[in-house]
Amino acid sequence: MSLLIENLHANVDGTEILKGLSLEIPKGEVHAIMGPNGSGKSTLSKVLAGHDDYEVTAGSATMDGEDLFELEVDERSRAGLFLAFQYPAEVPGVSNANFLRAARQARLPKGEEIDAVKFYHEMYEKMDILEMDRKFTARAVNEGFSGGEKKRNEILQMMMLDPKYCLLDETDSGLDIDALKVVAKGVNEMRSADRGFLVITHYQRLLDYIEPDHVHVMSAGQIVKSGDKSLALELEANGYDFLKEEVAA
Amino acid sequence: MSAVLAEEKPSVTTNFPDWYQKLRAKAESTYAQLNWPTRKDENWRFGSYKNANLEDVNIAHGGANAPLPEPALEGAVRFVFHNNELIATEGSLPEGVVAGPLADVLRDHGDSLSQNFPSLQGKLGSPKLAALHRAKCEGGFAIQLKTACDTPIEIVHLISGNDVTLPYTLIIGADQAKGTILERFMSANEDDQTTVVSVSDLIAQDNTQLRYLVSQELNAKSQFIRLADSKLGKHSNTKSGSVHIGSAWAREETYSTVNGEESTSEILSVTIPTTGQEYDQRTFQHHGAPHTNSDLLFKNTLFGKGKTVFSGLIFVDEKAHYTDAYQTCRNLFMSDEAEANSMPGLEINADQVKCSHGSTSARVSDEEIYYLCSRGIAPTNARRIIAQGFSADVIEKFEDKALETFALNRIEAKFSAVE
Repeated sequence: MSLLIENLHANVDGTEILKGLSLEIPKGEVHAIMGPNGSGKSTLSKVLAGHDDYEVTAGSATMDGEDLFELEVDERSRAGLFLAFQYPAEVPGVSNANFLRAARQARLPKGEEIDAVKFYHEMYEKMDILEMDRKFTARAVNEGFSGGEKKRNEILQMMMLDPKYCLLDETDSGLDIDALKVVAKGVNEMRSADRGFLVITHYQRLLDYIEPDHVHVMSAGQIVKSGDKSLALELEANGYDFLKEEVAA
Repeated sequence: MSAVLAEEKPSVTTNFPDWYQKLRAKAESTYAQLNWPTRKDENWRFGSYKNANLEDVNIAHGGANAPLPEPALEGAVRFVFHNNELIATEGSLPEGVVAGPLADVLRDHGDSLSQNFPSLQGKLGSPKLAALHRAKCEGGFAIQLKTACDTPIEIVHLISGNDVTLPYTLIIGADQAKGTILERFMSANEDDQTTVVSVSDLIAQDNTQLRYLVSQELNAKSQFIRLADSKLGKHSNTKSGSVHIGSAWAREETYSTVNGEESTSEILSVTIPTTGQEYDQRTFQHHGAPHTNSDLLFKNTLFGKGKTVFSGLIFVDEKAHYTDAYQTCRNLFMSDEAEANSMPGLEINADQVKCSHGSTSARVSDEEIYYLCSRGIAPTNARRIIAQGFSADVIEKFEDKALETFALNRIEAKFSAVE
């Protein structure tokens, strides 16, 4: 049971960004992807979650055997994939609570109604873990939220939707150290043998709090090096230049 | 629809006091002198002016008993009219509130009104209709709030038949008064082709806070015209507005006058037209004193071949320095075939004012739809949720949970019906 990506090629506006990327994230593991700007990290997450701007030209991605590219964006989510966005959209007028309710409702069989009491109870419980004020439920989705609030909100959604595989796209960007700890706490709460994580980040700092099982380095649309968490420390100390040399050699 | 009927059917009264009868007679002669709107009338630009020609129509008053709709606001005092005739009252009025048929209220409590009864409306294109209304309206309803009233007041107009109905609502908030009023217009039958010409006067004297929402839910064959004036004294705040989800055609002329310092008139509207529906709204925000505020927010969500017209003017008198006035009309297109016409306007004759006006038109943002879809919500549902949120934004400005719940339910029902 895994999220399996094989020889993935993808274009944006006719330019190839992913150039034969392969990666397997088994359930129960946390994988981190690091890499310089423009290496295709965010593109990978968008391609997996599905977005019209990204065109898959070759390769495959399956989630527990199910072909992701055969599914629409909403279907991928309901099948168990979750992308925590680097820049979440603002949705004026739609309260967080109603938004989450609609997302949960979408997972129920037709005709079955969500249990509102249970839903709110669960939401408040998760919000407490993320140290979110109850007022957030009534506020419009991400509207006027600070960077940190938006990221907490992404993790809240992730916790409420109970996905099988979670993609975190630079969740640490724009977070101060306290917010980072809270967000990491939420992610760590969710770590289990039934769930896989792909954490995309620029900095090793996040991995101090969300400890990865594997670290991969991405460059020019491919995974160029993989290792354990010590690879992240190595990158932090030496930057990406030495990797380039290694790849060249 | 509940089957509850009033135990005792109150009688219609046209027993207006003499001073009011004189106003009606004067209106009759004004009506005779005026002309119906024409194509050349600037106030009817882009509008269906022929719909406002009510020459030789029959005026309806009263009708057979109809089942009463469920109450909209919990704990409200409710007055239900059928074709302008009061057929039921529910609940009891708190002390300090007078409400009932216009003639009764004018006779028993109207001394102070005889000298300064609201003048004829229609400055935004429909003076002849305003005159017709005053001359021919046999009923009418009046509310005088003399204190802070925690009990909401719900007025329901059930309309039936194919004639013209002329409801009138007078709301007066005296010094220190607070209150919430919901007025609904509903068809008793789905197939009637009714025309409703509704007039309302909202008078907020000093230190008042009034919320007044009109919900137009008529059947898809009806026509609806509303002339709505409001006048504010000092240190007052009104939040008045409308939700239009029914009728084939609706025209609303809203004239707000702020004549007292430190007062704010908030004017709000939500419309959701679809194929076969046209909503035409004309507004005037008149600032007649210094340190006055007004804020207009209209949002239209257009489906199918739905059409809207918005024409608004902020007018600041010479003496009305330090005015803050805002006017925003936003159109959200849910279809390529819909049509929205917006004509925002501004005329400032004073110094030290802050004013803005504007209109925007857009489709539902792809980025927002994508975000909702990425959480498992199907695209059609995502569009609906976003569009409902667009309208909800306006309704939340009433800052009244009960009104909000009611209006959002009506809006949701409309969205369910059109998509």
